[in-house]
Amino acid sequence: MPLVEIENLSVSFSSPDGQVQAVRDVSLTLEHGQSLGIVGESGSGKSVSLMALLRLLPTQSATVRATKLRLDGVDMLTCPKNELAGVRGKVASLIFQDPMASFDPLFKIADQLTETVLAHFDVSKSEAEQRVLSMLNRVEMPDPNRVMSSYPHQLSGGMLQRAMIAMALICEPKILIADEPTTALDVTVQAQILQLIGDLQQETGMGLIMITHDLGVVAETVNDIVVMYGGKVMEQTTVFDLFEAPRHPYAQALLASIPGQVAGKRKLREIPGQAPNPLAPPAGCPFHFRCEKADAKCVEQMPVLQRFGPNHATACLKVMS
Amino acid sequence: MIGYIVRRLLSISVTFVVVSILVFVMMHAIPGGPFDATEMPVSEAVRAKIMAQYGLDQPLYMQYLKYMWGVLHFDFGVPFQSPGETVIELLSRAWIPSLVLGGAGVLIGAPLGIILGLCAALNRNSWIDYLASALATLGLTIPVFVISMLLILVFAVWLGWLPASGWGSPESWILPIIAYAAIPLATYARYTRSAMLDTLNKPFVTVLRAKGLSERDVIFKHVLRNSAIPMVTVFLPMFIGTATGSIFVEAMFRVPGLGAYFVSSIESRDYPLEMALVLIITLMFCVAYFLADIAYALLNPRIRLGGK
Amino acid sequence: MNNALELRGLNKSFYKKQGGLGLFGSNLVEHRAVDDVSIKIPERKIVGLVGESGSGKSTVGLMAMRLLEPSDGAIILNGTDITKLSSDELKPHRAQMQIIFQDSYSSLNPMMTLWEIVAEPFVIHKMHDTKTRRAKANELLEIVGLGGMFANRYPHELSGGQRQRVSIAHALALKPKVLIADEPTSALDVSVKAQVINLLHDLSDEMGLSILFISHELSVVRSLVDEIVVMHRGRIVEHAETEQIFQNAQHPYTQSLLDSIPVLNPKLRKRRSFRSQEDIAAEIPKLPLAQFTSQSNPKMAQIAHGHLVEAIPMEGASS
Repeated sequence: MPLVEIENLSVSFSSPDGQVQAVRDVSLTLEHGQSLGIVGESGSGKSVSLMALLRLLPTQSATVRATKLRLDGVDMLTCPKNELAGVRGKVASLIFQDPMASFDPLFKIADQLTETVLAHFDVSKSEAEQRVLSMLNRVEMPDPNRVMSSYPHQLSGGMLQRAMIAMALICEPKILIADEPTTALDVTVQAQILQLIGDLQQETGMGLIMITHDLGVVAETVNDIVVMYGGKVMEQTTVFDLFEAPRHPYAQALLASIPGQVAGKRKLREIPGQAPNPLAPPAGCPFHFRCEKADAKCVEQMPVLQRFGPNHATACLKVMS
Repeated sequence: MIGYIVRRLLSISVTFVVVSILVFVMMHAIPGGPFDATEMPVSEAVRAKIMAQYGLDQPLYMQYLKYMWGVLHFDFGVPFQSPGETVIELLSRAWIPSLVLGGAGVLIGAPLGIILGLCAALNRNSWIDYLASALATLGLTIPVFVISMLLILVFAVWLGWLPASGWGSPESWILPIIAYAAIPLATYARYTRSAMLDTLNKPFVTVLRAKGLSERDVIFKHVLRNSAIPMVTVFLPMFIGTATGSIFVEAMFRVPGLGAYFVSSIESRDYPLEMALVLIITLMFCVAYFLADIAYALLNPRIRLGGK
Repeated sequence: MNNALELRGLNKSFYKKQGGLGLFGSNLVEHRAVDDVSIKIPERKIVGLVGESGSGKSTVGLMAMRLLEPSDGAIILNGTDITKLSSDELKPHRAQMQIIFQDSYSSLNPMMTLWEIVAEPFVIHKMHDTKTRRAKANELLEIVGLGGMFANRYPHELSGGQRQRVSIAHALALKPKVLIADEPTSALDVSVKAQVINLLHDLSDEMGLSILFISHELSVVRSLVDEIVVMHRGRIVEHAETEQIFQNAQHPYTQSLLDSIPVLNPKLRKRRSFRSQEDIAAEIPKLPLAQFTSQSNPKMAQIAHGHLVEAIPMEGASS
């Protein structure tokens, strides 16, 4: 039984300007212990898909539809509210972009971590604190005792993100979902945090989903990749295939536009135009008006994800023919 | 933290002195005086004697210093309009209806408003949210004398259940208190709702839910406490403001409270009474702001412990 | 070669209260946000100023613009020392140098259309009539790739990349010689980042603009700038031509920055070792005194033509 099963997931938000179609017909699976990168720009639907899986979207404004939405066998679509809390943090944990904003500013780090343990395990407070301390040591936190008695504003971004990782992993979840975990950090700290996440995944055998806009991050950390654009999956493959032989024109353009790959001052390959308007997504391929290869068919017809070999699928009419 | 308290105390004391000087100067700068010929047709010699008796012939700064020296000994002087008693005696008599009206208005309006605001924020876009928003908007936009008139019309004139004015029996208290409670109810509901929504939209609330905390813990342990910080800083001074600002309601229901004296002290240039009222209200605001600052610091570790 | 902008020995100190009641200002502690920073930006060149948060790089940009007063040092714009000019005297020079920021949204007036925003500098400097202003604004919008129907739109109708172009057009209105770009691409999505980088390229190439490009993104800097200045904790630690930095970095901090760039090839994944602050301090190169640019106040040593490194002077050490 796969750890994550998402089938035909669509998410829309009601806004004053109309329905925002954030995710359209997304399917993906993750086996136990595997790692997956979801790559996309802002508005591609990459974060919303996983927030929908954990049912963390605001119920008043978000509409979630799917034929299957399962996490470690639990049907998240029908899971009652009080059982959801038992899944979150225990089966699946999340870490976010801005570690400073991820902690309640009014509580000490120790309180916020022990609270997580006590939410899922029937242990004493001192036992919970013991677990917190050993977890902080495991994420290579410098001076863990001082960190425990500190408030969030007293720590640096890098230390807070380590504390955040410790909090996410303290209940030994089966999967860690990291949503842009290094974007807000300094460059030298970014590499350390990525390495730490990779190490912990190896040690614990948990699954990992890395949500990012940065192809460099996935190149360093995951095995499989889903490329999203305009709320849809464009390409699904292994990280090795993506960097060696991307098929979708969007994936190709994205890889080619990364600055600093070769020596020397030079102009970059740019992708013309802007991302599609989520209020009125185009009828055909969402990338068609920025795509060099697009023709009349791409404007009208929505391409479906088409398999090429066991590990590669692409949603592009031009690649099929 | 001690440094913070000392700094706040100092700045509030300075505010208090500056306000007292400003009011004193402005009071005397307005043309006319309490014993002008139009008010009191007596000979110049007699007027000069009266002026000297009240110290009004001295330079303004002397008058100010003398008055403030008295204030330090709880001597606010003698009101010109009622020379048979001291300002303190007059105020302690007139204060009671105002305090009952203002206090009851706030004590009823504020908790109801906070509860309404909480329910609205926690059930966003539901009927209770719309009801709260509608009530808040009505309470803020309809002037209090219109509310008072409506209440008098319905409950006193049409239904005849309650007296239309006066302050004699407890049933005459009901309508003014309801009218006055409308203001804190509306403002507190509105502010509570926005402070709560502000917190609920913070990323750490998503983290709390994502780590598997029950919704009850998320709200009662974290969200309420975070929302309380902006709430106390606004509510404490607001509390004083509403508890002292019932002049219109007092006028509508003919309540013999401070409001009437405040207005008449300005009209009749009753300097000691006017000054005493302003100073007492300023002092109450200063204390409220000071308490709000302390509460803010106690709730917020960033202030309590100092930044990085 | 002439320098469009020269920053000479810039310093900026902030004072922090430490402990006590803090009432009497007796226990102020000096914090040097910028410590003796000198940078020359030759005409038509792009210089990258690289560092992490707290390195002081943005403070340097603000001081160059005189938006923040330096504690010490000089700013020379096109040969004129503008460090001590009054705000009236500064006005004509202000037109020569403009700045753009990372968060372009907050710097655009939401009540104004794009052409009005771009034409605003003409209004401030009382230049041209309305018709000419509008024509010039359209021209500028055309240059940054927002021609045609964009002129009458409002900032909230634009994407992040488009807003950044508007702030660039606004900055170009008075035909400046120098542009200070403080992290202009950091908040942009990958697919539009390249557009803005290429635009800056063209402006430097075709309009002769000199740019101080402040960024923490080393990969962006590599494709855009001629020289790199690396700042760490308020000080310059290395300064050289771009490829010299990428291929022959000498300072341990520069090396640790380069080491942290992700490798865009999953087959070359490797475990890394990271330098701590202590490691960096211990690895600062030790060079003979003769190599230092100033023998009286030795901080920067020249190890090759145009390659400066923070180093420790050693009598009789071999280089």
